[in-house]
Amino acid sequence: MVDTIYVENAINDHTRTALVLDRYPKAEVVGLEHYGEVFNSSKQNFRLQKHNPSLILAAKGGKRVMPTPAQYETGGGAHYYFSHMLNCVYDCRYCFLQGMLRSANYLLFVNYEDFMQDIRSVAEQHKGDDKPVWFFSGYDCDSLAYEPVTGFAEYFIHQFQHIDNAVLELRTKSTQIRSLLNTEPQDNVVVAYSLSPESIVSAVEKGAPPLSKRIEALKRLQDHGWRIGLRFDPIVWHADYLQDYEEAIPQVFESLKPDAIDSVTLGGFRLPKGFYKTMHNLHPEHWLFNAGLTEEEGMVVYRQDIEEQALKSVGELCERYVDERRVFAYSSFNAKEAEASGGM
Amino acid sequence: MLNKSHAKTETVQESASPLRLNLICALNCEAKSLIDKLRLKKQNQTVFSTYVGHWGVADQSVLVTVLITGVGAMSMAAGVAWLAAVQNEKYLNSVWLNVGTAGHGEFKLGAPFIVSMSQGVFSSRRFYPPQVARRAVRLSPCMSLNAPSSDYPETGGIDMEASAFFDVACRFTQAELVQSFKVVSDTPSQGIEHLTANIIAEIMQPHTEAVLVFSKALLLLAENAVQKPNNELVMPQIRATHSQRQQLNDRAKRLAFSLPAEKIDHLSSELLRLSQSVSDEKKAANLLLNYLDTAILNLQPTLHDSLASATQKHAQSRITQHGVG
Ligand code: SF4
Repeated sequence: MVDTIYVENAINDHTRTALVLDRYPKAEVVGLEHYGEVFNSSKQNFRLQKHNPSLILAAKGGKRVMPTPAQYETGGGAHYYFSHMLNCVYDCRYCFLQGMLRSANYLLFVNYEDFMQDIRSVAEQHKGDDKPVWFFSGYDCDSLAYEPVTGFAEYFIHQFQHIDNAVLELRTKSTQIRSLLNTEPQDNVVVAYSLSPESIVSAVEKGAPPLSKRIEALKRLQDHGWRIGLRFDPIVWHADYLQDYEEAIPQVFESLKPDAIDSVTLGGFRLPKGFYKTMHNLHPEHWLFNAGLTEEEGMVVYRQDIEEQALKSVGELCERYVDERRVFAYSSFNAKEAEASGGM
Repeated sequence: MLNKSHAKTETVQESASPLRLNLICALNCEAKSLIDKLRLKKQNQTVFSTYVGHWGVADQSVLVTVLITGVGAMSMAAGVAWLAAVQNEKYLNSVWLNVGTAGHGEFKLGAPFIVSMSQGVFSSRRFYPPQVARRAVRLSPCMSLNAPSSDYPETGGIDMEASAFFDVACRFTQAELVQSFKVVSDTPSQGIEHLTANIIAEIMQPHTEAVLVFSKALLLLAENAVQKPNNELVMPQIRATHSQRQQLNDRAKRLAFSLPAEKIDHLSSELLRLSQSVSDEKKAANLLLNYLDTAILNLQPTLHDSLASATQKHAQSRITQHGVG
């Protein structure tokens, strides 16, 4: 339960600010000029803040919609991402946010309307493209985990109805799908779930719903008519990982209609070197940061033999259920532009 | 062959530091009830007045220092810097808590608060101490002035030290562990004229327990700040450059966190054996590095073990959230 909420003075009167504050009647509110004074200040400790994060409400200025790294390909056209929130209610040990951000406080940008305006203008620039332009959310947070407070999906899905050359992909591990089940499914929205075997969920995805609950949510979404995607990313390597994936993958695909799965993506654990160093300092005791890793062009990644074996074997397990053209594997060893794992 | 007596051993990881709590007050009367409650002993011949002792929290012994800095930003800054210099850097996760009185435009006389934002009159810099530790008292902003004042802000507090305290103390520990606990000593209807040392001590006294409860919540966080391996890898003393030593330490730390005690012991003896077997002293560091790299390459975590060790670590954390031991 959030007990401290920082609010930028400029958005004191914003309707969404009031809605969020209503959710936390007992929290103390602290005013501030700019979120950076709290979020970016020095000597903060991410690990400590994870014990009791505060919430910061702010307005996002500057660039709100960014192109994604090249390898983010899932079969669409141009790719962009936007982040209405930084940080996450879950605590995955591999999440790159720990290495990228100084603070673990939840930073929520309430000016959704400005994000939408930018999304519309980017979509407009791609009017003539063969394929729709793809917008990812959940790059710096989980798209749905905080839905009851943020109303994010409810707002954005509705807005995307009116952009016919754009697709919105919501990346999540969350089971907060009520707003989606209360809405008519839209062709230009994909709900993509990050999935891991149960043993990995309990070992490194603290706070996130168990695999069985994610499968249940996926099934309900698919039955309701939503497009879904599956993300085995990162594949977490350990002594018995293959056995774990051999159990988990049939469990996932046999609960769903594989033919109606939009795409399946796979990737190994990978982080920019600077993020890795910060994360290793925060959790020097964690096995995830101490075994099986190597450095490759500024990224810390699984050793090539480990990554190749993981992508190949997990990929093959998936291809038993879906056509290989819908399975995308991100290799750290031939990627032009690498991307960190976690954060979705 | 290295001379046997030359191949001494050194422990790579320093042993766990004790928890340390620094309670910083401007005046002796602000600290009196804490000094009495914790039965602290005055230190002789120190630049600033200090009182030290041990506080038993659960089954941990916390080193407590009360520092009396004197009034005003300069005294506070000098006092905090002095204490940090006297204590040494191995207390990187010390808790620093400023305890004192403040004027307030809104809260009643005797009301306690934790500073949510602090700003000094001479600086545009504002400090927002991260509110991670559980608290049982309200938050309030507090402006640090350079002289006593009876001009109260509508909704905040005023004091003369908090801003300098944050500015300096944050350099020595994690920001989450630097906080200020204030008790309202004067208000628009009861100004500073009524304040004497005795009255201040009386105002502070009822909040002694609340200060300790908050201190304990901060110590609980400090305990979580850095993990140390349960087992230590013993490194033979060899000739090595600074960068080789850093690399050896890094590898040793990884292995100490990743291997069970018996494997660490085995590895320590292997390293000693290797260092003694090398004929050219200059090659010893590289030989050990290669050996450790191979050991790391062969690490293959099993989730079963890691879950068990996580549970054990959790059980070892002995300071609990509630109650003062
Ligand atoms: S990896 Fe995703 S779900 Fe996990 S903590 Fe990061 S943002 Fe949240």
